[in-house]
Amino acid sequence: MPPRAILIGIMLTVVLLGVPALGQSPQPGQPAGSCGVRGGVFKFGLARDAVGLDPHLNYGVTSWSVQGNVYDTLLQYDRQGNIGPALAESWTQPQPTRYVFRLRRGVRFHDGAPFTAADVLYTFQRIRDPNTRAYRQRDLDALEDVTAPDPYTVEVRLKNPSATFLDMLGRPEMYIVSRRWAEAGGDFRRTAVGTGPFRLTGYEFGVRYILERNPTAWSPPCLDRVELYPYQDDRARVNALKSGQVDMIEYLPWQDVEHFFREPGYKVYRGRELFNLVRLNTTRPPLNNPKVRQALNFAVNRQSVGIVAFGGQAQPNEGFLIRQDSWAYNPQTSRVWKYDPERAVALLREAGMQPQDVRLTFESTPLSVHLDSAQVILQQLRALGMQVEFRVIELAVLLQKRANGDYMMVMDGLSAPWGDPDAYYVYFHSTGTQHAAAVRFKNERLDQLLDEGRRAVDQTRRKAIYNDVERILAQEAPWIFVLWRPQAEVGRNHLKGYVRLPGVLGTATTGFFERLWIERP
Amino acid sequence: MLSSTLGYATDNAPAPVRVRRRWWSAKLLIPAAVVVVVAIVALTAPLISRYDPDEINPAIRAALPSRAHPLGTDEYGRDITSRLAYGARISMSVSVASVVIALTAGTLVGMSSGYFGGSLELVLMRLVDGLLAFPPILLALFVITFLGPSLINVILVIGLLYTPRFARIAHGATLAVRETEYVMAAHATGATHTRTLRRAVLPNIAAPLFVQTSLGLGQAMLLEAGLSFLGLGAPPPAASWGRMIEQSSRFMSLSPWPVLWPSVVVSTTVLALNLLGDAMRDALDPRLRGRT
Repeated sequence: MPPRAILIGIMLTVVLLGVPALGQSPQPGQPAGSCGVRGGVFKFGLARDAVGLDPHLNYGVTSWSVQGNVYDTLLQYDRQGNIGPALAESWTQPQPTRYVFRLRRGVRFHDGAPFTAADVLYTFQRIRDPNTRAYRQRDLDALEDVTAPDPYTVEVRLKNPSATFLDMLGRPEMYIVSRRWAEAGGDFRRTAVGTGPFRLTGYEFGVRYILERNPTAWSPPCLDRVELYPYQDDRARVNALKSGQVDMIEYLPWQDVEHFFREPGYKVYRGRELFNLVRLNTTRPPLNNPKVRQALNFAVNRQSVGIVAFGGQAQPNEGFLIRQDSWAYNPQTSRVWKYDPERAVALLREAGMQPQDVRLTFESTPLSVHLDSAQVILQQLRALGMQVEFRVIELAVLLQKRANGDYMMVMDGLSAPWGDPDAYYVYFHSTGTQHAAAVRFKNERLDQLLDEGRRAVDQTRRKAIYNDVERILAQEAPWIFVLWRPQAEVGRNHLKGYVRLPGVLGTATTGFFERLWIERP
Repeated sequence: MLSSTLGYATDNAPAPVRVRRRWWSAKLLIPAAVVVVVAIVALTAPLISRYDPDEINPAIRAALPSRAHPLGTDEYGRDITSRLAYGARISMSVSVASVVIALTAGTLVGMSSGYFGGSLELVLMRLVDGLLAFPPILLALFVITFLGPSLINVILVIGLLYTPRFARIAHGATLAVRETEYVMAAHATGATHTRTLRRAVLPNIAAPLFVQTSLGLGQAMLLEAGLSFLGLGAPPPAASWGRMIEQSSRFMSLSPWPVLWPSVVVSTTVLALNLLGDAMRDALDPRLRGRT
């Protein structure tokens, strides 16, 4: 070949290789949330199917993966886990019980309708409506009044000050919906119309969900499209990732974490924000006796459960919800359950029973994150001589049982709604639907303390209050807290921007796909 | 006239061929021995197991075979040998119980439709055909999802699924026997239908039903393992072989042995049952009688 041709060939090759490299890697100084690279399709493997898409009724990690990207809340968490603006651009708090939110202008719903204060008012009203059976219905009892002095301002007055009101506005169960669409008969359960960075353009329950980029969103995404595929079976999900059917999966089984850590081309994201527990129905004998409930707590060897069920990757929880790194931690009240089978038997005797007299029904879903722990606990209780009948129930049935309290002992996994100890309010205040109210658990003194804790502002005072809360919980033992379980997602290296929200917020990370981009080398 | 080629005198009639029908053979005895061993293990599981099959021992998870644990332990630290023994109970009891149900129901249906004929036969045999056309796992899934997973439900479902096979065999055999002398003689002596069925028909259709029983045991055992694998069998921690395979398959990255042992045991037992059925059919088939 003539030398000139070679030279031209080399120049062309360099140019052709060089051009795509331009505009690729983001500058270090780029603010969080802006796109490294525009475009691309991202396929995500879900661990379960969304039971429904109603943003106020159907909650849970899987539903949020769809809802979080289609809807917005008034406020949202940034990458550091701080609450910040979303549909509300700014806010002020002229009095402890009064908030004024300035709404973002020029935002439209996916059907073209403009977003205004009327939609915020409608959203609150819908959540408070008992017919909606919204998860946060009782939480909004704290609202005295919600008004809209003009189309872009919302004023909220609370009955009492609340340390966590703003956190609540950032919760997935508080998505803002379109009044116009709802009143025109929109089906919340089966479809979704929001203001979010993606539109739900296609779905087949149990098969796939298609989210397409919404170019007119106030927070437009980098990706063109997100496809979500449910894989209930652990192996099927992991294999889907390995075979390239999906780019990322959630609920990576702990058995596979080691493998993907070592495997080049993948990145593992981990957290421990979910906790496993056994719900106890305090109205069903013998569980109506607190000593029996305490005995069960001492009968469980949490270390063993962690080793067997999660390969040692879980952290045994010998207390409640306040973890060691929290400002509210007090070693005397926050850590009480040691494995002590003799004490368990002694407590049973105090309750007038031998272990053989204890008849329990214990249920669990077949999901490995529940079933494995349940089997170990079952064995530990039976080893003491207790008569425990074990049953497997479907996930949808578990969700129903949470709501109607139709169980004696059931294995469950939850993530705290916010990092503040006020989370105890959600689970143990007697008005908490899905939790205490479902099994008619009520401790007056506990209710008082929880109300006070929510209203108080001074941290020292709140710490004292929540330590008292824990003392009562140690007596009442309404649940068996078992462990903080390892939660991991794993994705291919070319997926960028996925940063797990810190602490207990980790599971909400999949509601922020607008922060992701694909960068192929 | 045959000229004798022998050097000494014999009478020219050929010696009678004495055929000894030997019903036993390696083909039958070896699978039978395997089945008998499994049955004995199933019956004596609590006696021969060294450990409690449900005893969880975190310190020795997925241990390799050793003196203390001949086949090692599973991912919960439970002794695999003991679990296989208890699993044999479940597999055997489910397959035996469901085949008994299928045999009884199938024989009743097939025999009565073959004997009485008419619209009874029409209706019953069409129902049987319909059930036979259904893919077994699908029907089992369908029913168990409604009834809930439990040992009794599995037995009922598998029993229901295999009834048609027995019904068809009983029906065909009854049709063949209906016209024989035994039955005509019974009628001639004024026997009731029930008596006829019991004394004349049933003994003569027993052979093929017997064969199908052995084959059915193998198929039922396999179906039970499959349902347990899908999570629809006896609930955990029951040591059903199928469930052992399913649970341990999730931990294959840790150790493949806990999957291997129950798989080998299931395959071997089902194979033995099938071979036993084949060998019994060969032994009982009148056309093959006389051949060793």
